[in-house]
Amino acid sequence: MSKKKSKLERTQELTELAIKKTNKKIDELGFYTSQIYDELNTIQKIFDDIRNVPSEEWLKYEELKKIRLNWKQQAEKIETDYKNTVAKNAGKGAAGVGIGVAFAALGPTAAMGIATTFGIASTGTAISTLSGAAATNAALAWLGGGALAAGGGGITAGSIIMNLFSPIGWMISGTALASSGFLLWKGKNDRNRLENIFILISKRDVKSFELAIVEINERITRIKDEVQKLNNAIERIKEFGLDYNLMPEDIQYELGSYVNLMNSSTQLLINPILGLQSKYTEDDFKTYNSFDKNKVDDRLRSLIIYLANLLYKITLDDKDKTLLWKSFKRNKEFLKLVEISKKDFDFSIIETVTDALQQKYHSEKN
Amino acid sequence: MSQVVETNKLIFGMDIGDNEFSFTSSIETALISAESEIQSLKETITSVESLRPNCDKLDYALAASSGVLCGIIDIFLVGKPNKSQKTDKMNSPAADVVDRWFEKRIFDFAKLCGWDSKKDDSLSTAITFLEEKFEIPYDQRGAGDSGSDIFGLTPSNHHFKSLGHNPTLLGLFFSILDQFTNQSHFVSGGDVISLQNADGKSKLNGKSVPAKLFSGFVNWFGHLISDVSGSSSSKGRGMGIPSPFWSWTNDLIVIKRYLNIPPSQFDSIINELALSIYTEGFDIRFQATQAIPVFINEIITRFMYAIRRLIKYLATTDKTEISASDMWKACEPFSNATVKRMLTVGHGVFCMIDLSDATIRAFSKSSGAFNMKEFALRLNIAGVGRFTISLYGEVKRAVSIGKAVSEAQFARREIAIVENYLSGLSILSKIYDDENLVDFVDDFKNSDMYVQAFQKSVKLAELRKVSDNKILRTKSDIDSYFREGDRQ
Repeated sequence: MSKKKSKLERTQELTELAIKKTNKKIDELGFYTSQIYDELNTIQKIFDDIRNVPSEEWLKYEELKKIRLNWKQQAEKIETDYKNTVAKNAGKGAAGVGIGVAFAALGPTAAMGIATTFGIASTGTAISTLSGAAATNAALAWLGGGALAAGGGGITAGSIIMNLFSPIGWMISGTALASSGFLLWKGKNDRNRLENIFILISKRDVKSFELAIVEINERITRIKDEVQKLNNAIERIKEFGLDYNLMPEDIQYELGSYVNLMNSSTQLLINPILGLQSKYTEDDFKTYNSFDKNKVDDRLRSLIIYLANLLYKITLDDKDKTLLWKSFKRNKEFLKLVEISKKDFDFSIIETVTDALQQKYHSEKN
Repeated sequence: MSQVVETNKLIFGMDIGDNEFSFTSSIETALISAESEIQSLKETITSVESLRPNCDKLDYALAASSGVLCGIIDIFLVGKPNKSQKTDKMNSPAADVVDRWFEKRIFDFAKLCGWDSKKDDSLSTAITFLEEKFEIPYDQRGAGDSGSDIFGLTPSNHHFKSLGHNPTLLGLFFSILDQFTNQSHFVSGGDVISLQNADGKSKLNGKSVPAKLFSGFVNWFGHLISDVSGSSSSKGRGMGIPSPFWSWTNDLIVIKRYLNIPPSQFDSIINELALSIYTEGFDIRFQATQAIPVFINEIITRFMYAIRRLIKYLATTDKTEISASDMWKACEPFSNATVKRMLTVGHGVFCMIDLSDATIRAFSKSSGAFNMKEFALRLNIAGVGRFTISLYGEVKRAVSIGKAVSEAQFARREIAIVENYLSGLSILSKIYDDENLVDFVDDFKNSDMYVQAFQKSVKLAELRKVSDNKILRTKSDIDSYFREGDRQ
């Protein structure tokens, strides 16, 4: 006889469903990004033909090519890293089951989708330094989340996420935590309180995935449209000839516009998807730490960022905070994962997290 | 990359069909649905307020005054069943009015059943007509009838003791049983007595069992009406039908007897008490009399509530905006926690006065000792019943308020999440607001406004956060992009 599902279980089911739906969308996005990538390379080639001999000055415009190249390399790296992780974990029990078996293979379109989803770099950041670790970790975390969603792995697969502290690790770990002994409290009231916190975490995650899906859909619409526009542009430019100086002014303007279009379309590959971004970042922590008089021990940095992401936009009263702190403190698995001793897991950590979040909310308002 | 596109591998368990969970795809729709989500969460928060009574001091004072007024009516106009020796009418003015009212209803009912009042229009003729019309086998009323001497059946107690004469569900059951089996069931001295072959004359109409059952029900009801103001042989007020509340003391004994549980001493005492107050005149008519002050209390309290809200509505609403439906909504004295709280107070005060009166008189009757019978005669059962319903409602509302408060607290926390989602959507709606920018490509084909078309491409690049140094903003930017080789 099937037991009636609790409100928390029902909410978590919705979260898992949202993860699956998002995964599906990311794969779909990957399919279209590969198309636009081809179009962008072709149009760049034509521009290069018109632009005569390369020069030192000219190279700065080559950065665009570099961005796209990095993007592609990153997609390929995600794919390779994934395969390596699967191979490495294949014989390693639970984690292996979580990642290796639940997902037979990571398709290249999915890798491209992931590369696009998490973004390659924010404007002005050196892409080369970011490509690699950040997105690959994001992808692995994503897969860890997928594993949890599929029912495998539990906190073991979750450990990969938490060790990585990657952009989306925080999202899935709420579900992982809730099913790892956090809710085994004796008092009914306390258990209800904890359950409510995790229901809210799940609900917030669902909203983040909804936001991501809305954006991915918009992105796909843009990409489809711009593949067509780039294609038409390529056909037209071919008619303009190769000598820029011979072209009439309106054609020159048109050419310039296509350069801007190429640049803009490239951003569709590398601008990250808002809903899948980390809610509380390293930068947020740095800002907080620079304002706070009692500097936070740098060893706690990862833990605080992790907890801030877990509790982002979750309203907690003092009782909730104490209860949450106690439940973290007595969860050996959790303490092991975040590499902190029971003794060191002071209540002040929770207070710091809520304080840091308050500052973040304040800065978001302004 | 083309071979990449063709690859189709299983990833992320995406083979699961999940039609029941679909996301909104456009920002616009998502914005609307998020806003409505917030709206419904806000409604959950405000719904707590509608569960809480909103009474001010005047409301409480008015409700209490109504209770006091009705308490006075109960003491002086209802009192207790007490027949005048001279006139055989009730000493209680309200009870006397109710007795007359019941007599008139018997005439009405008899006429409805085909009684010809022209021959003899006395009450006893009407009752005789009804007794014959709705003949039942369990009407042994005392001396001369079988078993009356043995079982203590007298004309003054037989309506109470005879189960078929009890206006309860069990009374109906025994009435039909007796009609089918030609028996007669009584409760007397804590025992259930059944007389076999009670009355050979009685016969059930109808051929089928359902028809006979219906006929049995009609006989039971018709016979009760015939007896409500006493039987045909009664002189003066007569013994009516016992009150439903006190008849339950019979039911209790019957149920226990049939379950082979001997009735306790308490059951017997209560049953005896019920019988003794019945013989004093506490019948269904007096029970109806007791309901009068309770009913008045109900009406006055609801009326006070409505009048105050009506005045407030008229005072605070602009004349041009007055509407009948809004007015009704503002002063409707039903289904709201405020009027229900006022009724609890009104009925509570009424019960307090009634109980005090009954207690004082119970003590004064037996000069210091508590006289239970006097207390029972004076106690307004209808008032106590109504107050119990109010109290039950208060407890139920307190429980639902507790539940709603925690739901509202949760909704407040959820709002923070949905608002965050909403602000995310607002950001997206700005980032993706590029519809009229991307169409510059078509502008080149369709018009000569190429500079403007170019400007759109600049804006698009800015919206997409293309690096400043990469955006071509002017003609010279375009020239330098394409002529770098020439400059060398």
